[in-house]
Amino acid sequence: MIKQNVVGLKKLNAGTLNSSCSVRLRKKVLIPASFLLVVFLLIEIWAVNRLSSYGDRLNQIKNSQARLELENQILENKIAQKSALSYIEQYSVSLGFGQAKSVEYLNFPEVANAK
Amino acid sequence: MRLQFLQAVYLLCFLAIIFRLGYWQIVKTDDLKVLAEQQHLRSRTIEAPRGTIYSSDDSLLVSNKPSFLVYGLPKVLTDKKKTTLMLSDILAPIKESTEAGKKRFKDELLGSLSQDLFWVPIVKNVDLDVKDQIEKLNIQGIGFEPTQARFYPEASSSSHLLGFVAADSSGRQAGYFGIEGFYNGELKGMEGKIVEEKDAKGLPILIGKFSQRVPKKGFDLVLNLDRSVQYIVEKKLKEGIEKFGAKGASAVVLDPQTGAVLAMASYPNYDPSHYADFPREYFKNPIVADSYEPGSTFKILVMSAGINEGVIKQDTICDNCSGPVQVGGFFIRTWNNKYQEKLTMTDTIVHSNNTGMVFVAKKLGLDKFYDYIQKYDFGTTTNVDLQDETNPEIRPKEKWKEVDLATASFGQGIAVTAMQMIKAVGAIANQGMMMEPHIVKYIKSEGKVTEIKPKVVASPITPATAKIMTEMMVTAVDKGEAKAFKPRGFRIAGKTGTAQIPVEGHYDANKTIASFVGFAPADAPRFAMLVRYDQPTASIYGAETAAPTFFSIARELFTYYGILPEE
Repeated sequence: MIKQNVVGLKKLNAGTLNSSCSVRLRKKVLIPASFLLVVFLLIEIWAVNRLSSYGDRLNQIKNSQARLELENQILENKIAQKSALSYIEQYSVSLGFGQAKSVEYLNFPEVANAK
Repeated sequence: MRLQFLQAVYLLCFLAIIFRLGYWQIVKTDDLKVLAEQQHLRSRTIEAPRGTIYSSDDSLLVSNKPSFLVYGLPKVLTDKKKTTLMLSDILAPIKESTEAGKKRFKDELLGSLSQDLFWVPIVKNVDLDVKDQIEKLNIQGIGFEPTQARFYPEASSSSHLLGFVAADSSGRQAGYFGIEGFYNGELKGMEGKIVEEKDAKGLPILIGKFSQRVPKKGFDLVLNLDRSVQYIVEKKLKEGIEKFGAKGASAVVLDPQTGAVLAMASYPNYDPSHYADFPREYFKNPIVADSYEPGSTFKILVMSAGINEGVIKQDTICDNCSGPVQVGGFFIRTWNNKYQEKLTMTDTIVHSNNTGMVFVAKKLGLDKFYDYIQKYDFGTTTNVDLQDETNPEIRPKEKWKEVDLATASFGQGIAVTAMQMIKAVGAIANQGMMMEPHIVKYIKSEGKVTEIKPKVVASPITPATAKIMTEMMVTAVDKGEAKAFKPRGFRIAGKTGTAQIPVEGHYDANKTIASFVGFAPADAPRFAMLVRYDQPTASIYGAETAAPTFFSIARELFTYYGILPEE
């Protein structure tokens, strides 16, 4: 009988000990977890809100990308226009250059040579 | 009782609501979903940039020019008169040069903005600078739509070869004529599409739905065309058409060893960026689309057939050339009505003697003559990569009469294109091997380069025959009618041609096609060239019109390629 009581007391003690431990554990894990959950929720709400309103910025970036691409294309075309042979001829004439009237071909012995 | 009535009313109302909700949520679910997506989602088609065309030295020949369509929203515009004034200050000087034109532009603009419409186009193809100027005015109800236009840095140069781009029946850009038409599938690319979720302001939502099909730029083309050679050819041809008072002029320069088309020009031409301002007849490329009787330039091909078949040699003497030759009841005469007793085959080519050619044709006979026409690929297209190529029909052999054989021997009564002619003469320059002519050298697509390799299509004559023919053509240049114009010291192989034009069933003696075909340097040809004038008035003869232009171009090409005189 006494033995039984001792065992029962031990069990009770162990149970009380376990329950106090689990309460402590619950407090230790659940509170920060809940806190974190709330923080994450707030962050998500903030992020979603921020991202939703970020469309304007995205639009600006897209527009400036398109604009830069346009300007690049225009510059490429301008370079091509200035490299056109008709333009080069016109420009060289304005600088005083002209076409050679005749071409003189030099034979090998006529060309200066050095050893 | 009243309570029961109220209960019934409530029940009926409840059921009505249930049914209505069921109707919206079950029956109309798809329609509503589509409607919601239309409000939330924005779909945009992105035009694919058309491929760029480069010359052989990678210089731009055709690219894309970003431009804008200016449009107005009359229902949004508040002060239309003020808007018209502000816009016409910027746009009228661009579109109109005269004061009357500017006023007309202003009136038309006010008219279109005053229409009872939601959207009206104002001006097409406006540059970025002009768009910026209009944007600074900050007018509510004026907008811009990006468009692509083709840009030609060399202006109207090579227009027949390049073709142009215009809207097709569905309003999409498509290439017409020349390279743009032939390679339209490669150049046009694949348009893209963006579907994205938008907010109430119409701005994209980053975390929303988004799908994108990236537009694929069209393939780039690198041509065999040498822009320096093209420039020389165009310049000389333009000078020539004015000097000789011709109705039209064409020239084509080919690398006989590869078939690469180095230059191709025709007049009158057009500006591909303003093609609508020119008559439609100007669009087709005369070098591949026009057929003509080649006249005496054809003699070299008939002579090569005779030599190749062994029925004649260069020193064979014509035994029937001391006077006009009677064939099928017709008299065949020489162009100057002068005859030679002991006419050799070389003399026949040098003096462009028709009776000597009749002698060769008779020696060959119709069967062999016809075989060589086919061996030189007359009667089939050259397969040059240009959209507008035609193929003049060669009469079936059964329909040839004796006189047809005789006249065809000196290039009358047979029709060819300039491209067919230069391709055939190219075989003489290339040791008997005839190459397929090609405009495009490479096709570039996303890092992949496809090379168009040279292709031998036939070998109508042996290398030995080609060598004999080359010597005969060199002699023709050195001693023929056009010897005065030849650049000194160079060995050039060539032949003049003057063909009368058939008009209403008979030949008009004063209307001719004057041409010159040849290659140089004769022993290691860098180029084969054909120059043709349509109805020159200063002189009807090829020796006095096409030949001087040929030699003038050749002289410039010798300097350009660094080819030294041999003598």
